[in-house]
Amino acid sequence: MTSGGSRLVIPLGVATGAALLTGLYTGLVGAPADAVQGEVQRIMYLHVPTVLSAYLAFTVVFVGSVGYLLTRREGWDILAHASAEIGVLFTALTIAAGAIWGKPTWGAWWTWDARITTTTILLLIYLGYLMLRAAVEDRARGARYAAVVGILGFLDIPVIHKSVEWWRTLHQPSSLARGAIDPVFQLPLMVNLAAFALLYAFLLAQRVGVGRLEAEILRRRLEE
Amino acid sequence: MGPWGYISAAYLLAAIGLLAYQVRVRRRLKAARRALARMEGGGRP
Repeated sequence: MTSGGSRLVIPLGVATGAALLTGLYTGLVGAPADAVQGEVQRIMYLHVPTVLSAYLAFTVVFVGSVGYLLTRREGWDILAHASAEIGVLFTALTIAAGAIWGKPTWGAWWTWDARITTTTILLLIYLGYLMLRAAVEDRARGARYAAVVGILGFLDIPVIHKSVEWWRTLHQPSSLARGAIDPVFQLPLMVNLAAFALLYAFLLAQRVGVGRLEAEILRRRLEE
Repeated sequence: MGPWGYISAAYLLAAIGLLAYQVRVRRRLKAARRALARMEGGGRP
């Protein structure tokens, strides 16, 4: 019998908890307030890690989807499905944290800014991916269709990244990629990025375990 | 609302979302383990 639990889950959980607590401390207490935005800029230590973790999650969906289409091995599909679910969660949290940050800095919860809009499109694409999986009864067919959406949806990520250069936006350019962030802000940001990467791995290990067990149950039911 | 109100709202929302997802995954894992155990036990509860 497969237990669906990974030996990685407990050590990952402990490491994730410790990293998140360190991240909270460095972001909310250790880091100084921003000279322009003031204290509210601390939302960056949540907003940036959630969006980069979402990118990581959708990259894994892309890899899993390509792997599934090439090999038709169920493991790739389980990995892609699990990662898509976590990616949707992180994207939703990114948009929510961005809206809460936007109100005191831009004076609005929401604006049809290019980066916000393309990120919302990303959320809708992968919500569609999950709905498609739930709607198609034939598991293999659903996995095939979802893999195609998983690959095409990934194309939105470079568009999101470049949106601040291609269009006039309220959203600031990518400070991390340009190396335009002061070390006093960069260190807590890196700690939080590591914490959220661990959180992603922790959630993924558990969700893949669920996927394996549910696939095994389905297989046995079909054999009966 | 002051800056810490916005900061608290953002972090609280994230904590609730992540915790709710974690609980959901653990519940699914337990339900799947139970279903598999029932199958292996020949349908006994």
